[in-house]
Amino acid sequence: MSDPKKPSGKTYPIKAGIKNRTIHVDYLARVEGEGALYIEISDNKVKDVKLKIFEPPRFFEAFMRGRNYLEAPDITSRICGICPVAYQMSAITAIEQGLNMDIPEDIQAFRRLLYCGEWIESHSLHVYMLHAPDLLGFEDAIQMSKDHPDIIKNGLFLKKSGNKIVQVLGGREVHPINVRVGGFYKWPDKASLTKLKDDLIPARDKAYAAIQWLATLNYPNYDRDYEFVSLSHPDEYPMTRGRLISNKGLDILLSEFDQYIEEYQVSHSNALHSKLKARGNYFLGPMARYNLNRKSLSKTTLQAADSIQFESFCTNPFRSIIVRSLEILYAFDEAIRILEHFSPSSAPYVEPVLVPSVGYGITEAPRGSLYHRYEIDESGKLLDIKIVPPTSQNQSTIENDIREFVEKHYHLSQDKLIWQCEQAIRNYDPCISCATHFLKLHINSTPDGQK
Amino acid sequence: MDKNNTIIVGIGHPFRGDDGLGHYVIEAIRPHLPPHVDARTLLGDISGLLDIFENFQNVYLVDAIVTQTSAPGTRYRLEGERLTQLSNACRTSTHAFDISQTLKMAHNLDMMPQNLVVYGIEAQDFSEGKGLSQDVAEQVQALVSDIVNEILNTH
Repeated sequence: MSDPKKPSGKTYPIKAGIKNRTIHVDYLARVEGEGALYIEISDNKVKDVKLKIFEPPRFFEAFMRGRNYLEAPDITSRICGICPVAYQMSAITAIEQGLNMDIPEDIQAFRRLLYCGEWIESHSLHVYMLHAPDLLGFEDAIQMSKDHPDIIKNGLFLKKSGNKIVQVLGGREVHPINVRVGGFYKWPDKASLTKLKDDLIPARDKAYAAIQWLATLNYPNYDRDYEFVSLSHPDEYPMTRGRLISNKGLDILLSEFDQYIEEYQVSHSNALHSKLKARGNYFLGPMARYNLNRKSLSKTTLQAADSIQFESFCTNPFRSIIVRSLEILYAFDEAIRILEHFSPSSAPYVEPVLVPSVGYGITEAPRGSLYHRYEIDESGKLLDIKIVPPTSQNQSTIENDIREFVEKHYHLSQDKLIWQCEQAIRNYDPCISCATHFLKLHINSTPDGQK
Repeated sequence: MDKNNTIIVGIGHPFRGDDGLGHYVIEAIRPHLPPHVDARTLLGDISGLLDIFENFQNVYLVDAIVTQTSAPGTRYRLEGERLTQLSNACRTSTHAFDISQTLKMAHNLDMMPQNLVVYGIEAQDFSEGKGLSQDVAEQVQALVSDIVNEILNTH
């Protein structure tokens, strides 16, 4: 890998390999939201790692109480500007589950299509603007665009294609307005869908070519024994439905989430951490989905993975950029497939019959499984809400990654170690604003181990 | 590609005080524009600007400006070299690029429009809430006149 440019923030000169040091990253760069990193090293052992989320809590779960159930997708979508569809899908599927609603297959397909748009635009932003600069040794995408304009242009083109899907189906690129409990407010006209399909075909070719390019880059060696968790469905690569499974024995209904996973507070983060009650922290996101559901990917996507001899079970988060790119390709493939066969036969939404209920929903946001739970009364008023985003669930896994990485890389200079720790966080494409629904780099090095 | 002729883009969010300048200028200017001139607003994510640069020859941007050396209400017209000195006063989106980053990227990608002019007013207050601060609000009509006169005399 080429040497990195100087990472963001201040650095202090220090001898490489010193056995006692403290690393502060006051503000993490190239991640969404506001976070910082603290690492304490003493006698060549990592004593403490804290991923500090200081983005303020946002209290969605509190202020949604008393609102009408139909507002849930529109309010929760404001949690995030890059993954609003994920919040809408988890919200509506949770309420529908509680009301025992049967959603026709054409609405289900349309939801997948909308989700494809979001995966494409979110993953493309991360791959090309946030992660690729790390691998090519640039401080940011702006610097990268000087030397690699075609790569950036490709990324922007792919992102725009994803935005188009969301615009056509959802009515708006950010915070779509066409999503409701039961389905959609209206079907788009056929001409728009035909044009959309024609626009996506050349974009899919670019997505395929990008995977070949990514295979040529160098990646840090890193491996860990993770518990990967994602949705799984017998008939499709998971997006909007299924059971929650892991590679270490988890296989539960969505309604059993709270029985197996608990949230807990840590003093250094405004975002709650999560753990499996039986086994501790776990790993959500594209790598989890890929590892647990690879056989459900499209033929083209599997061909692309095989063409670069990409491992069928990936345990190196630094290679997550390749998995994201495979998911971009899959999303194009799936979107085109749905558009080719789409011919709605039902009304755009199913009218619910309101009863007091508690409903559970998990859908696969670009960053991983997003859990919503809603209690409503007989009038549809929201009484209690729980939202557990993927980034908050990944926090302790990220901290453990950094702990292990630092313990194996004491020989690196301070600058390079900090840069790679920041990259270890960026591997997860964290969405810190989501995590606090409820990376300045500062280094403080003390040779004698004092803070 | 045949490019469209001229567009004026108001940048900023109307729920963030003086950051809504672009939005209010577009509201005020629309009735005065000739039919061939497009007018749009962009909120926090202005990577859509690159699309606009690709599709229009003449682009006018309107945004709140902060120099911290001029009095609030000072009107600006920037083009050419002065555009490279722009930097962002506040984060408009946690996911996307701000205006100065977008301009740098457009330059690196050879996507700058044929003509780019930035009009603005020195802002005072970016706190949450609708409405402009008084010094800024008092200059909106004058800014609208400046822009309309230039567009009518040039394009």
